Amino acid sequence: MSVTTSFSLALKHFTVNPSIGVTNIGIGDSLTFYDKHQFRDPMNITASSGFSTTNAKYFGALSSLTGMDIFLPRLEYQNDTGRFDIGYTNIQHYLEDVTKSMMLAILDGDSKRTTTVGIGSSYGKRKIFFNSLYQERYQDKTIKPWVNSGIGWTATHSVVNPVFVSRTNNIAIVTTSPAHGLSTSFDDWGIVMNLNTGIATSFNISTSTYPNGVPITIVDANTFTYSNVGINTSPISVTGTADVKVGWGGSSINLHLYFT
Amino acid sequence: MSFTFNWPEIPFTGAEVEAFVDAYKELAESIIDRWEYEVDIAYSIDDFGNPISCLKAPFTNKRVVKELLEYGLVYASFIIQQRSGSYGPGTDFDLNNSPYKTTLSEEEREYIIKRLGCVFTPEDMKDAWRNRPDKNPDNPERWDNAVEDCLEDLLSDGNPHNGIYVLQCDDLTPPDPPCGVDPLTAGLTAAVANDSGPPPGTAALAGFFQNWSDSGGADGAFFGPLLGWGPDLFVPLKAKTLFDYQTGNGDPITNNNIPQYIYNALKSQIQQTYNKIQTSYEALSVGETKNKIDKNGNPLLTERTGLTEEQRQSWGATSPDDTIYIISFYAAQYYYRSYLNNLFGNATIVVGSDGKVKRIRDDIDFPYANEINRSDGSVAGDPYADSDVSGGLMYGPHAYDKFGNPVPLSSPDICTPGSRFQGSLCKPPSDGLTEDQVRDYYENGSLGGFSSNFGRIPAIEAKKRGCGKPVPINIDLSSNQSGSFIY
Repeated sequence: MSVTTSFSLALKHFTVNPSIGVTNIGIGDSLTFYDKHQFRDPMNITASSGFSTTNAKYFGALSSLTGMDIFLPRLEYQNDTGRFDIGYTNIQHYLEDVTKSMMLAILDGDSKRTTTVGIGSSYGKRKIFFNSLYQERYQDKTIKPWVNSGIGWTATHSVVNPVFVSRTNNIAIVTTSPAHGLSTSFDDWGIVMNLNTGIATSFNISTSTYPNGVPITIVDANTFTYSNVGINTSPISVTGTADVKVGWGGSSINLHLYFT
Repeated sequence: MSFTFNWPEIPFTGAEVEAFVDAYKELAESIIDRWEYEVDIAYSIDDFGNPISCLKAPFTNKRVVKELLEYGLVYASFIIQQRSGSYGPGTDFDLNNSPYKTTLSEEEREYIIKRLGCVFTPEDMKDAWRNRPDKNPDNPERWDNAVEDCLEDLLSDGNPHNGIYVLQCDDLTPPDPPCGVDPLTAGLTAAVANDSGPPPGTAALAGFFQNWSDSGGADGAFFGPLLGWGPDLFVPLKAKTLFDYQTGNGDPITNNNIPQYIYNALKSQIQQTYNKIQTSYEALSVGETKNKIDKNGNPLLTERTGLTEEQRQSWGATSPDDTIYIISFYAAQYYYRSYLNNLFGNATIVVGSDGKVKRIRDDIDFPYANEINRSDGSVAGDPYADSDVSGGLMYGPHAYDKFGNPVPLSSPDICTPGSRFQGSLCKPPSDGLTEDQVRDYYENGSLGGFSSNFGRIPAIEAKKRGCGKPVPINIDLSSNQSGSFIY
């Protein structure tokens, strides 16, 4: 690998984002980056939707599209190149979208947990690739990844029964009965909680926001946890169900980067 | 135009990953080869009859997709490597185990450092200064001449030390803090649009005060709606409050700071609002308490109970028969249109046994800008120390109610993320926002957009510059003593 290609790749994947782990930057006699890269949302496959108004200052045409002239003074037009800078974060989001779409198109079945290249024509795989990147109204809901069963991305793996929930420091702790039956050999489990009453509903996961649930950590045969912002809550008895989902992976797909 | 992929080397080996890489490259090349036949012809028609792509915006460009396909291969292959159990480089923090471990030449390192925004040559420093993100392209006059001169000196006289120029400008002094009033700058709209300089709004407010005093206050009917404050008599007082907030005065507003006619109107409308709450059949009593709620359960009057005598006196109670309430001018506006909701929001009033409101206290601070910490035992309306001021609720962990207003994580009004109320989607809790994110929330969120939140922007922008001091209000309503605005 040429050095040029190497550091270009490193920068494409590099994000100064301590939220997913450790980022160290050392500048002494040399410049060193030390980081790990992962999908920003390992449970979801919904591609980035164009340019949000948050990025309007980087995207001049938006003001004419939306009539929001108020943003015009904030545009950062690159006069020397005739281009607008959309920011490296957006580029990384698009890179993630295309990477996921390729895996969905190439890998067998639901593309989760498999390394097997699927059988099928290039045309069929291209259909899946583009279907992953279509605007929602043009998506074909009868094929991967949007088909709502079997090989569909949001297909439910199993259903478990929470009997107690609690929350400490924005971490929800769920006890199930009977045992949830989820193997600790995998770190790609997710959950859609659907509890029935009272304060317990604050533990629920909206499928409109998280169509494939949120990642969970298996504690033991009857317990798992997930991030859930809210007030600290002592264990309470609950009724309802929780749909178990599968995503791309947890810490096992952390790519550690070292660049100097 | 034909495209040739420049595939990166894949530092992983094994049957699974090699089969995947082959399939990936084959599919990627077919995507680009077939682009004109399968993407360019797959379009829809928009409302104006123009063809639009079915793909999301960034993926409509063949060249962009080609680049992303190239760069996506390494990480996709890494995931396959991990799934196959053949642990390869990049699986831990052993520095020699990274697929990207490499040592750059001096030339390459300089190239990267420059593109990361760290520039050390005088030409690059000057370019960076002139193209800095906070520069307003519409106002090229906003140069710091000292920096300009310094850079010019470097260009003409600077000597590099090991290729690096050292910035040595003894006469370079930091600019004055950007808090304050600059009456010569442009009007309110231009000021809001600027990203640097005096806090937006202050110049326009200064102009407003001038217009107001020249015209006997008639301009309130014009400026009030502009700021979302309504065409009411209290616009001058509201403007004065925001003026004090922006300029960092921090002194309480009392009877001595407001003109007689505004004092009289304030006294009358607070009293009438209180009376309406006490007499309206739609304002419901809460059990055996003195509290009142509206038909939707929103508190109108909430008695402050459990106070010591010293604390009651701090709030302004002078008799054991006085009652201290939190009054919501937000909720009360549906019973009595006083426009006080845009000034006080919620405030504390002291009511005598005869039903007369004797005092009103409040802190004019903002969850979207700066707030006062009163944990030292002081009460709203008291003077405070600068160290008691910090970023408001939205800059730390918080949630939202069903209306989209920020609320503490302990609030019973937190909405359920994903639920909808009156068409608005409940926003999930946040660990804290930046000023730009707060501004974006009000400009583009579900709370009515820019026009409805125009008045909030100056306070948010002031905070961004380290400016904005909350304004305590402590007005004795039992006397006829008043004064005049002091700017």
